[in-house]
Amino acid sequence: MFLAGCVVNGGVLFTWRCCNFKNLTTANSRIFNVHTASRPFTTNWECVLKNCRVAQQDAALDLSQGGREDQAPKSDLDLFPRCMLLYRGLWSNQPPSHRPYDSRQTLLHRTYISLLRATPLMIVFQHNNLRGGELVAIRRDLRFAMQNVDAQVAASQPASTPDENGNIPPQPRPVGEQVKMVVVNTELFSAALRVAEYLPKDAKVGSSSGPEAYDMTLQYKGSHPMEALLVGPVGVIQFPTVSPPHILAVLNLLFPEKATFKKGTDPLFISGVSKMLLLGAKVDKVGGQTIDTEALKHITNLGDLPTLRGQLLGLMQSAGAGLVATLQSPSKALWVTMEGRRKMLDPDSQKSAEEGSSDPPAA
Amino acid sequence: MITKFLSNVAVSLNPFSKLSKSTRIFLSMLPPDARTTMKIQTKLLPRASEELPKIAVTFKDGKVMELESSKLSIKDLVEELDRHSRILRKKEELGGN
Repeated sequence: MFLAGCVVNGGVLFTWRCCNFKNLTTANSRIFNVHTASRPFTTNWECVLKNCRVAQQDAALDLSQGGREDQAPKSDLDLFPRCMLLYRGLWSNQPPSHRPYDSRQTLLHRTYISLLRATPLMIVFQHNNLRGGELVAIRRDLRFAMQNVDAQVAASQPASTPDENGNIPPQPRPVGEQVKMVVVNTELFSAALRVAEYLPKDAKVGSSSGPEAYDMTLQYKGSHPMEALLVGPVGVIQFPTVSPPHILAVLNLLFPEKATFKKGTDPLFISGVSKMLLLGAKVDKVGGQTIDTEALKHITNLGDLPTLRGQLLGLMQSAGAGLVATLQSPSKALWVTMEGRRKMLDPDSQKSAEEGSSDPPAA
Repeated sequence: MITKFLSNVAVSLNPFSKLSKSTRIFLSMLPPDARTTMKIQTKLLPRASEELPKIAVTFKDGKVMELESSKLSIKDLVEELDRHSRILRKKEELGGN
């Protein structure tokens, strides 16, 4: 290692040291630089090396308890920067990421990927210069509206009956509680969208936020139709399921065709809603479609998912029953004809039939 | 962007088109209280529409400026609008109001 340079920052002299070990990668030495930046030149290297040995023992322990061999440090020199981070409480077990693992970008990228993978419907909107108070008012009124819809939906459904032990089965969490409005970082969201949509499922990348995932999906930049929406100040409203009454309530509340507000509505909410612009929506998690506002309004006219499934099932069953009847009818007719002819020709059966008709069964 | 002298803003755009980027950014550049001082109409075109995004701005002196925002970047758009706004501002300053 050698002294690389000095920086005077706010009157304090920081000393930078660079590792020049041949086995160290650039990434390692970069981390090393950052975390030695504010340390004085007289670091207690013995202490560091002691920690290095501790970390090595830890890694050996990890390996014996099922840790991955390729992740284990190979030599003292490999271990050195990691132990430095460990020593300063900065080392972590996080999966690898394109950016430093503790950066805001990494956190958002991971959040957006999980949002894209788990949300069956998200409404994309543009918010033009919303003030803080307006955003708070919109979020609050959205929450109240969702609670109202939840109450209506719960009232329309039959009450749950207790099972044989007298326990009431646990109810699923109401949909409206999970409806959330999130303002997104468009650049990071489109990067996360690329990974969520185009990364092959069997791709061997360490993590979805890692550099390999980024490189593999970079070629799809700008190809997803949703990316056109991700310009300027954009937010999404995420729904845990496709529930038409909730979608309808959100559309009527935040994106009304003709703004009519009840008396006593918060003026902040009114001014906030006038600045919201509905852009489109994305349906069906990964691999789903991006739809425009017309299609979104069409969705609100549909029944909810169980009703639609029931309708489809009924349709398929009736078609199947019809097919069975059609296929059966010629053979049935043939059987009836043959049976009638047999009865006509067979004297025994004729006799028994006469007996059966003449002799009523004994009571 | 000088928005003091705008009285009416009518915008039509297709959010699924990449050409409407500058139009959407223009909308977000209008100040938070813009809706109290001017009239803003936003028309969303359907997704399949081939129509280009349009911005029609009416100034306080009655001048109507129609901009083909698909050909202009947001910087150019602002420059175009500010050119006339600066004239109006100058007039106002000289008028002593």
